[in-house]
Amino acid sequence: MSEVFIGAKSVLCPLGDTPSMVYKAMLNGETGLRALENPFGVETTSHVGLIPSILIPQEHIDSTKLENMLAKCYEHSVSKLRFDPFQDEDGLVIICTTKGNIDKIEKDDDPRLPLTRLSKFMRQSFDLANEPMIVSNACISGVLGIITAARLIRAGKYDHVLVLGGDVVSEFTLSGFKALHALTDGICQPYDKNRTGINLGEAAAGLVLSNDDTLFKGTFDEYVSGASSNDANHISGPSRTGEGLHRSIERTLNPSEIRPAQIGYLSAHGTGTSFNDEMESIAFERSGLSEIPVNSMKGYFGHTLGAAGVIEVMLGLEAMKRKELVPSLGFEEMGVSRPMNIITETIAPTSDYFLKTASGFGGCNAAALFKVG
Amino acid sequence: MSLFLKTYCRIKEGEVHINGELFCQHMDEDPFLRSVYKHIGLTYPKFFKMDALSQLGFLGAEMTLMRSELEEYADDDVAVIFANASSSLETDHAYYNSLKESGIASPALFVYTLPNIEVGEICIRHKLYGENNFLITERFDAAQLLEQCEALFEDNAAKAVLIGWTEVENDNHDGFFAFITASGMNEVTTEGLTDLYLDR
Repeated sequence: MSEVFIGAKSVLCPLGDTPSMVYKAMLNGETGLRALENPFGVETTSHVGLIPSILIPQEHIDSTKLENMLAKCYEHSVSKLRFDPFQDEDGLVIICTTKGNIDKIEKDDDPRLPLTRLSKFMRQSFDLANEPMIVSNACISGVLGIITAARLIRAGKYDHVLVLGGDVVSEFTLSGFKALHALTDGICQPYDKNRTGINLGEAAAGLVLSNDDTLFKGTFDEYVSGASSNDANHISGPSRTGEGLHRSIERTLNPSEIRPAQIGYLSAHGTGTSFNDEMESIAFERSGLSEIPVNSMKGYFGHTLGAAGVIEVMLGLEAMKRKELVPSLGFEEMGVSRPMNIITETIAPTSDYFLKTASGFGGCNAAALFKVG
Repeated sequence: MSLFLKTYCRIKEGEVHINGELFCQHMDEDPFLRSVYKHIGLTYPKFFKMDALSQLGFLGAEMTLMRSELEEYADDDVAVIFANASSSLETDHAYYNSLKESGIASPALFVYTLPNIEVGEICIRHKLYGENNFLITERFDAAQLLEQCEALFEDNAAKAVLIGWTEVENDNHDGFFAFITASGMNEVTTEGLTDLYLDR
């Protein structure tokens, strides 16, 4: 099987617009979540992760906030490559998003609403040879986009794939998660005894996968394997046995010959809801991962939905490269039923293998394994 | 690599065709999807909670999978890869308009504002624990869907894939479903699959 390399990181999130800036803020224990009075007209005390407006080009009629975010990440990622391979037939861009320009829904027939608008915008803006692929598979969209990119490369369909994740915070998503009683007061506390729900955050992030390691100007890592699995149980609640997450981890590790104990760092989904975090603890125990250093990044910039998988893989790779894993912000007292080795102070990873997992509505779960350095 | 077509199903303009043959037509008083549900003779109360997109996908999957010898596969060897052009936009509007009109957000509607919920409904119904993906393309794109099948087979991530295309606008339904396998009798190409979609 051909090797797949991963690098050319880009990011735009409440904590900054470069991987090292965001990572350093996390290392300092900063959060990008802020209290707002009735954010987007929604009555909630839940803090929100917004990107400082100075970091995003002004929205105008031809390009929305999300489009500007994606464009900026595209430019940042491509600037870390020796050339732009996406104007040739063997390059592909994958956009991972749950809701696209959903902040434009006030007007019923706003032409910016269909998700295909994002692929058209990116293709026109950057003269892309292929129409970008859009993955919209709830909160695993980002991880699934990375897995899909690697598979397309291994199947010989493309040589280089840029995976971009992006979603914005809006009245639509905030009101919906509030209606589901899924928003936390204040700041989320993944895996903690007192956790009550999620924060929403907005972000865009990018990673390039390629079969050619000379494409990257700087450092790069290796994609090993990945898989997704459905719980086949419930559309809006996770499986009580962690079935799909457990299976996606097993199917990720099995072909790789890497045993669970060899993993040096686990970046979990950790939304901060009662059910999700408990489900993860069960799935991790079933998968032999209870001892692996694990954190959730949601306390730093919130749940960024379709972007979550891309930004969290990106920052996980950054932490592995610097050999300093950041604490799971908001965690104080164990609040899940199965043992987990939750990171509470900065530590070094125990090996070069990094596992990322995600779960989402529709019963979907995904896992992806990387080798760093 | 070669790909094979086991079964396909077309739902469009008040008609259902399976493997090219007319299966049922919209005749009675019921809305179209409900009449198809009745025609199949299924009892599945959750069907009535679904939005139109999930109902369309659910019915297409039902009719395709019952002719695909599903029992020959392990429960995580069958992937479900769906695509459409407008994601869950119709339900997005329904959710947002109801929020604006009543001032109350409906959790039941909000849950259906993700397109992959229909894939979840199908996986629950048929106990499928395999790979999932939901792609958004302007038009039915046989090349992209078959490319996904090939990438899954090459990665040993699946032995068969239920692919689906589901669009709902007002009461217009455009559904196409196919069971694609890594080995079989009836080889399928992008052109062949596109023709089957365009045929109705």
